[in-house]
Amino acid sequence: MSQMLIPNTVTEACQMLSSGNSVACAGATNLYVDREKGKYLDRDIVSLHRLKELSGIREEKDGWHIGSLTTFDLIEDAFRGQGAMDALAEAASLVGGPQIRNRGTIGGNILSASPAADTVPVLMALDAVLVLVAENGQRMVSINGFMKGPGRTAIHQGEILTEIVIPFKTGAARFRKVGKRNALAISIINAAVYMEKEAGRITTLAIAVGSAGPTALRAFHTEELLRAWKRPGSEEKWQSLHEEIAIALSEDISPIDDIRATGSYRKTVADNVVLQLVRELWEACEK
Amino acid sequence: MRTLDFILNGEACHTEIPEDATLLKVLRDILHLTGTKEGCGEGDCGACTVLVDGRSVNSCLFPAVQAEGCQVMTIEGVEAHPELARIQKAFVDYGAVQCGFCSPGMIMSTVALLQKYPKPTEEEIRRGLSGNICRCTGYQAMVDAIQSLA
Repeated sequence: MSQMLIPNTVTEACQMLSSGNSVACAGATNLYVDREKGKYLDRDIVSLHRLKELSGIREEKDGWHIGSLTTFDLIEDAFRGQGAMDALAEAASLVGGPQIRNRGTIGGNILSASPAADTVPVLMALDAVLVLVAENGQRMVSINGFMKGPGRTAIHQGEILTEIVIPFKTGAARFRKVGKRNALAISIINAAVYMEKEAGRITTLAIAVGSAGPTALRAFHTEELLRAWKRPGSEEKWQSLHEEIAIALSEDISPIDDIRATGSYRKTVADNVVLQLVRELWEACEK
Repeated sequence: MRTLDFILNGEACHTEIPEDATLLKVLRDILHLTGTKEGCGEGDCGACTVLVDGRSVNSCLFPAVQAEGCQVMTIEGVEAHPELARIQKAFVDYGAVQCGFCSPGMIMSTVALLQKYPKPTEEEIRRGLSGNICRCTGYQAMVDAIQSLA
């Protein structure tokens, strides 16, 4: 039978996680559901709840530092109306219901590595960097490239995610989620877009889509298409952009059929959502 | 087994718990506070909602060891508290209780909601209760009950 291990320091947590027979637990919103399905039954659980230093948000020279144990409700409260970070607040506000948002953490959202995780596309679009600490040092890696597949990331055994660093941004960002209902729904498609504009042209653009492949991912072909795009003055031009986005996105994403939606429905929704976000950001920047 | 010390409904509580028990299991099976219900066991229905340090949580997903040193409030704690008991009375007065299974969780979410928004709008009420499922009332009676308190 598995044990509950309770570290008092990050170093202790790293030691406990280096055995290979243990799994870290933050807000635990997945733990018992996973165990019911037979996962982690023989693994020791390393409960991180005493590591209070991993919870909270700091503003530093290089950007926002969000502790990995910061819960969704705190993220929503901290970043509402805060420029591009509002997209992260929006994503956090749409996770589960209030009880889940009071417990679920941003670190858990990343490391559970669900393709439908709501904060991950925003973190990708905002170029978030993850701070991973091990007993003998730490490394910083971009979230882009960190997600490896459903339930898999590039974290090493014995490492713990302590912080997510998001560089300050001058542009605007938006997030959208499409699910079966407003609360407690897993995303059928979610997407985040970050945009900087100058003199009627997009200068910086990042598009990330979730629930449309084995991990959330950046839509590089679609980004390239839009960077070359000039001011779409008429409704017809937006319409033709919609068609071009649909073609470019088919190079970027590979949504599958599952219990929540078919792949082709997901693709249609992704096309629409990406266009919608791009258009909203474009028009908001015009004002 | 390990020991757990926390504050339960305002009183110090010391108990022995299985290593991996959920808070729900400790409350119901060990401490015999059966007002808190288990519905789905997956964090979807909210029937098991309790407050930990003033914030609503699904006790069916909450590792009991993480409650060490925390203030836990259950529906039994609401019953004993005259101000909070107003909520229970409003639910009764407005017919917001039918089969009653979701009611303890609904009331706990309402306590949390009113702490954050003493005069909630309808939207805030609906969002505040969005982690609790009721299959009888259609929710309107609950919204009315909570609005009567504001």
